[in-house]
Amino acid sequence: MKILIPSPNLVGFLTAVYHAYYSHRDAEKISANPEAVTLFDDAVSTGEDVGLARKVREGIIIKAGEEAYDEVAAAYLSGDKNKEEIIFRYLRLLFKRGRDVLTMYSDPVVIEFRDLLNKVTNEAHRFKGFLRFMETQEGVFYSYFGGDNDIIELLVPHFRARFNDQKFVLHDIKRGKIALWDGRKIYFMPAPETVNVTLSENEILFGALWKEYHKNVAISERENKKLQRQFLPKKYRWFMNEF
Amino acid sequence: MDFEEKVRVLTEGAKYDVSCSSSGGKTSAKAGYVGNTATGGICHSFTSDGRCISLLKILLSNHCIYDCLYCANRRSNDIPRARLTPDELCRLTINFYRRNYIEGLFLSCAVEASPDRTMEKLIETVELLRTKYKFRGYIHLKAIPGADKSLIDRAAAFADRMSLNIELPSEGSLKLLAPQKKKDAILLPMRQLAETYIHDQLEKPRAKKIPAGQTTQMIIGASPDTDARILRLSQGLYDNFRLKRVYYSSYVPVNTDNSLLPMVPSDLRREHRLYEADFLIRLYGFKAEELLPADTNLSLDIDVKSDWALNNYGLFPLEINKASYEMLLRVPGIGVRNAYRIAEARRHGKITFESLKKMRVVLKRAKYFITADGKFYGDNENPERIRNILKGHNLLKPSVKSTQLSFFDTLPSYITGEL
Repeated sequence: MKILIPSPNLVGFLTAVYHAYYSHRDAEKISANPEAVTLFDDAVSTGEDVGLARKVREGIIIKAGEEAYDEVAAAYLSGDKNKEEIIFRYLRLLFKRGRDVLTMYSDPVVIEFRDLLNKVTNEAHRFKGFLRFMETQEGVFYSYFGGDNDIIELLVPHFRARFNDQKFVLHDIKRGKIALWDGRKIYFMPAPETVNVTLSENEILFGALWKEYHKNVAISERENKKLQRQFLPKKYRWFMNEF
Repeated sequence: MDFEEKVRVLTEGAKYDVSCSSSGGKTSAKAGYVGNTATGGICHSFTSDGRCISLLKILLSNHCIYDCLYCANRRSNDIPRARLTPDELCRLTINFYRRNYIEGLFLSCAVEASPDRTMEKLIETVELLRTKYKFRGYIHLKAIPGADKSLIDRAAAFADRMSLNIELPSEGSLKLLAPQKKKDAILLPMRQLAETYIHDQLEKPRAKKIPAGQTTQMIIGASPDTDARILRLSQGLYDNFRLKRVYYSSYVPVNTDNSLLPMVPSDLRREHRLYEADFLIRLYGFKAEELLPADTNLSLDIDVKSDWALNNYGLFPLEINKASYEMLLRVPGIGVRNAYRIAEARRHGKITFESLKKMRVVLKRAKYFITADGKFYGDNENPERIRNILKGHNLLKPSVKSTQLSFFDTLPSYITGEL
């Protein structure tokens, strides 16, 4: 089987899609998952080419609209190791059926793609609530976190709008990525090895008040930790100061 | 009493209010201000009882002149009393908000001195928060029953949402258990807020007052009112006052000394069924009268929609490829999202039983009420037998002490801040 191996970023993936339609029409799948490739497969690395990626992007927009492209780009932020395969199957359907794919909710290829996408957007939505900022002595609000998906870019617009008057840092520890808002501009950068944070006095006071509040507002007669876990899985609690 | 202790006492007094939703706000961010609102609301944490924390839910003061029998803050209770200044309350809110602990503030207050004086104090606080602290996040403000019309109107200018709690589902129960609260003192401001909301939201496109409307809350199980009475009241509130939500709060005995009140907490299964029925009324096009006859209660051992569908089994089974969207909504096991998806997806081709499974329709219920491309997948078409089978699937376990319930597993996010 011919398999295209893309570079591990969106441009690389879209480049591979281009090749699957032009120079490697016999390719059966696109996958960056080493476990998906066997010795008997014909694996071709397709690298990255901004020009080709842009053509694919324009193709998606012409066929199915901006919204369809935004969904593809968001789905690509998934941490699922088979995401390229799933998205590629969906794109094949998209290029055949155009805007129809947006509402073909009973099609297995569409369902698989939407499940992938929903995991990304649901996690981003949850993190808009679950992220915690701590105030440093310099007056910067610092937040560390890490989820299943690479969602920092989905979080930035939300926090930039909401906290436009405060400097903040978002730090995805799992992926070593930082986004910094200095009050005027956003900077994305790789995270340094270590980040040292000295907490302000205010931080110590209000951090403690919040922990107390979180405990006291529960109704003990109605304890239901199973329900709590369902809405707030334990895998997220390490970056939340009330746990 | 230090600040931390005051916050603890005033949280304790506020926590039995169920509402915590931060949805429906329409405030966008603005340079130099802090905060905005998110249309669908955002949950920031969850407590050990499984409820969402979306807003900082707190009282400005718990010094109360009233003596409502069911209330923890009643005058005759010997509990610690505290009061925060408007400035203290604002600092707490802003500092929680900037750390992303909360979506905003849910502010209430015991009735101190007089309803007017209390309402003025609440207004002073939220005005300070909006102006001096430049806060554009969510504010849910309690209106104080009996406060002057002009004060309610002023308050509405600062709040995203307001609420008055009906407390008890009938005038008789109110007279008995909250003799100082008069029905009109609650209903007149509700009507006023309804008029404000309808005028501002439906007739003026960019109005400022209470964009997220109003809600209310009823205590369930403290009085002998039936589910039928409660749901007809809710129906009336949705139809006439355009309420966004009615919350139902299962009675928890916080005061032990009164023979007029039950000694044990009310069964949480009842609250659960009321929420099911409430959702069917708000989102599924049902009327309270269809769901249960007057003076009756909902069945605890089968869900409300299945109960309705079995009582009207003549309407079923429905062909999934042809039934109207309105009827799809009435099929047990099909929710709002799947009804929409089925209606959209069938334009592109026949929907089979297999695809329903992939779409995660709850087939163990739905299969008795539908055909897919002409085929029926249930094992029988006898409503009484189906009823027995579905009762066997019932996840609501009787709650001896009303604790440790697992039935919430099947709940949508209505106890969260996101609806």
